[in-house]
Amino acid sequence: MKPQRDGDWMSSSFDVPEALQKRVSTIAVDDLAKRGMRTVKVLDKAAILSLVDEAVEQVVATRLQNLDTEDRDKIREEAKSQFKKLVAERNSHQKEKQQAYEDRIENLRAQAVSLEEKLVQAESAKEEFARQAEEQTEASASEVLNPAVAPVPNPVIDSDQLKEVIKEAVAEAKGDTPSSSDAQMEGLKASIDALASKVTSGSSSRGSHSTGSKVIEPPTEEALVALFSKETGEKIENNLDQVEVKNAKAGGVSANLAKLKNLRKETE
Amino acid sequence: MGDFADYARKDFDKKKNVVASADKNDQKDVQFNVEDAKSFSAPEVAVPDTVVNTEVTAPVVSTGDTAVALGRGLDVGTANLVSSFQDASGNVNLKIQRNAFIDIDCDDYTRNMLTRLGVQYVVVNGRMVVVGDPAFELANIFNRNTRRPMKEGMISPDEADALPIEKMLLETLLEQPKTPGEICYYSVPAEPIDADMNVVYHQGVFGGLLKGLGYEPKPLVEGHAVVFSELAEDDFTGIGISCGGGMFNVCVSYKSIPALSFSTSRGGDWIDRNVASVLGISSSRACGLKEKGIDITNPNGREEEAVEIYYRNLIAYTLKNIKERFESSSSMPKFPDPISIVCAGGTSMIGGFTEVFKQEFEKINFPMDVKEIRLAEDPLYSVSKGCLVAALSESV
Repeated sequence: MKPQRDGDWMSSSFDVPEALQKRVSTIAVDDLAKRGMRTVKVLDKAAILSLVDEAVEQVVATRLQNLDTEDRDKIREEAKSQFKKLVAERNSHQKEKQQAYEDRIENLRAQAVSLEEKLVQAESAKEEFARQAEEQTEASASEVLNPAVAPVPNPVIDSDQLKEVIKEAVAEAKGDTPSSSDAQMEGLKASIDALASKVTSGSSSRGSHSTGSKVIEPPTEEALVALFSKETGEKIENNLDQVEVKNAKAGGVSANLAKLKNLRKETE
Repeated sequence: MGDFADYARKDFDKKKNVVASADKNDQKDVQFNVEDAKSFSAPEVAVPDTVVNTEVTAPVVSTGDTAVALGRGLDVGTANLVSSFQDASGNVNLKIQRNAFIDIDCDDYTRNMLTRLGVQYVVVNGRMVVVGDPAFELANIFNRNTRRPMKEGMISPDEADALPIEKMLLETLLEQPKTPGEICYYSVPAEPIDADMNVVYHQGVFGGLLKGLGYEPKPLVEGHAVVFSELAEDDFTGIGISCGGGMFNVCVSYKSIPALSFSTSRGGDWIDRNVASVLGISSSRACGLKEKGIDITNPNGREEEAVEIYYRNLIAYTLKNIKERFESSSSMPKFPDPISIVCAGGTSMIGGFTEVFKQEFEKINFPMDVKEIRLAEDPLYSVSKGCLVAALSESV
């Protein structure tokens, strides 16, 4: 095995340059001259490091040759067990993450099932209420309006809140989820959204039937304008602007308009 | 999808010309001017005396190369949506969209093919929703029923999910208002006399939808719109009947003021349902059968006879209701002169409608003197044109 010739490798085991630095002594050139030394042999730092490398290489090579089979097997086994230990640690960590992720999915599934049950309950309650209302209507018109008719205990489902909670949960679950599970999460999210929508429409239809009549209470104008002005931010794919609708021309209405205006003037 | 592919290939050549080109300014409508008419040796028609002042026009706004009068008409029908506006030369321009859709599988081939065929679609929840007339054609091919955003003249409780699609259709038909708050009169049904429904929700939803588009929405009952469109020569006095897909709407008007308005909850869809039931076919196919151009005074074959029977029954039912309502109403005006009855709407367009109407009318002792029973000049566009007249008259 050839050691790497860079400082990082050196510093990780034995910092040769630092050791040299610690052990060298500094002597002024004038002092050397006073001692009668006229010339000195200079060995630069790179040369020293190179020499150390060569020396280490030679020693390691010699010792490896001298290793018997038993030692080699021992080293191999130690390396194997170390490697296995590292792999096991890594697997354990991933398993924990996977388990946490699956727990979250299971949790969301449980929420979905719970919602489904609530929806079924709401629908059966709605039917029961409709049946009761019908019976009441038949019995007496006044009884229908009687406040004594107990409202059906509908499960309280705030769909917006519900959606928000689910979104947060999904977002949280997605945060540290392996990318391969994105599709699964999206599918789950879509099904939960669809379920929440079902709950919403179920709730709204409950509302519309709660009077026991076909008459539907109109929403306020503000609510309607808000509903139809709302930008969802989602572009609905369509080709409506690429395809022209059927056009036609018809006789003018100028005469009708003139007549109507004249009539209005007469009546004013 | 094999059936649809065959259908696509078959109809491609026929319909490819209607595909909008990239250049939206291309004029696609065939228009004839006076010179064209002369070259066709068309007979010259005298301008009616009743045209008293053709100089009266509504305010006009210029939008680049075109100028249109301010004010829009919109017929919100169970079967069709029809928008109208008046251009600078006084012509009424209309856009028509069948108020129906059908959902099919969504894939790239279908997506491309539909656009090439000039078929409009919207992708909703991963399903491709084909809108308008092609939805009827596809429904007939697959022997399915189209989905209908409206039922019996009002928003269908079964298709609440269709409202976003309805909004997109209206955006396409009306486009953006020329000025903020441009008046748009839209048709609404009158209160039905034979069903426990009211129009408040329907009216509110479409009002909100139009307001969301930037218009100032104003509702107008359908029968009254027919009066505005068809009874100018009678000083807007008479009876306008809108024979629609979901309802028949009736308005008795005296000098443009509605004295009595109501609706009955049977219309063209009722015929379709019953014909479909007795013939064992889908309602969409029954509708296609009805609209293929038959004459109910001379039905040929079992299918046409079924259509004739239910048409006659519907007309008799409507006339009976009208008579009873007139007789029971305290607000009926006493007309000094015999009045006209004008029928409009898609259901009145079948061959022989007026004749059968007259035959059934003769059978009842109608409580008013009637001088004529006639069909509107443009039955399918009449309500929209009436709404346009109302809108233009207020756009000052």
